[in-house]
Amino acid sequence: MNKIDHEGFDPIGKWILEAGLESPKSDFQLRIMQRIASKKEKHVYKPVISPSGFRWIGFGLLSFFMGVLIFVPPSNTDQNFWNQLSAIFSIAIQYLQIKREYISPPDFGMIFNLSISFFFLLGFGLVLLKSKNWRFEQ
Amino acid sequence: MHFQEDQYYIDKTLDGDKDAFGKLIQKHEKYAYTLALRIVKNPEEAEEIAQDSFLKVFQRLKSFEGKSKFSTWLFKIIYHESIRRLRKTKQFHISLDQIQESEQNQAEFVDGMNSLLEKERKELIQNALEKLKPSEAAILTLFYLDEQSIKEIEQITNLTEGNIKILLHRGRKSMLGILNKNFDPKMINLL
Repeated sequence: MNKIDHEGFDPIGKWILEAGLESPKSDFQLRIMQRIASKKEKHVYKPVISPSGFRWIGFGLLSFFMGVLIFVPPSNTDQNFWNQLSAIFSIAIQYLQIKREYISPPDFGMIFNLSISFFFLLGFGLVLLKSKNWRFEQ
Repeated sequence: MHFQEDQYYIDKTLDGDKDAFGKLIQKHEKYAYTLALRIVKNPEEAEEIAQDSFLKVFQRLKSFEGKSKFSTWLFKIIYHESIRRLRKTKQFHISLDQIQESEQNQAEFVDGMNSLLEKERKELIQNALEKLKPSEAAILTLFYLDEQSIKEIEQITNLTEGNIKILLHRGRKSMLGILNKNFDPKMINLL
């Protein structure tokens, strides 16, 4: 039907073609380009650290966090969750017969352990958020 | 003005050449504006719709996979933006009821129209297009002016092939009806 209608004699088609196209104002294109430019200025996000950089930082933070949990020895006086977790890791490492390196024991308390954990969690969240935003704007 | 294929401008735009997008606008602006105007019947609003649509196209250009024609994609955005605005003011509905066929001196009327001066005929047609229902005007514009196939009109409007054919038929009949009503045989005698 389509082919026949486009090619066959059809006064309506002929007249609509004759009526032609309407023209927008002369600055139509210019105004769109201005809107594009203004939008770009507002939303362009150029991070100093690239998404892969953020991922490496995140990985570093996470490794450090895990390192603290594994290698920092438990305090004798404080048997909180974090210390227990550290002990579990120690047992696991001993079980796997991995030689555990002894690092001079800084005596971190519960508050320090909790603070650093939250700090790393926030950092990790920030990495995820930033890399997600970066992908959206691309 | 000679234009390249759409894909050429799309690729250049994606490579950061803003002027290429300017060319793409130039190439399609009249079609885009005409389609919006035929649906909303208001020049200012039609311009706003066409501009917003080009802006959307620019923002989503990366997602354009080239599975359909660029114009089909652009017209889809324009069509839906136009009917969204009309629906806000409850001015848009698609009626697929059968209309009464009238065979009253159609051949004579067509001859009469053809004997008019081009300028006067053009005026009558534009006037009739303004009075057409938005859904019919959109389908007629896409079908005749943009020479979109029924399949492409299906993609643009999300209507079925059957509905498009009904709207085309109704559009033609409504147009003839409006023209018949506005056509003054005396105009021929004045020539």
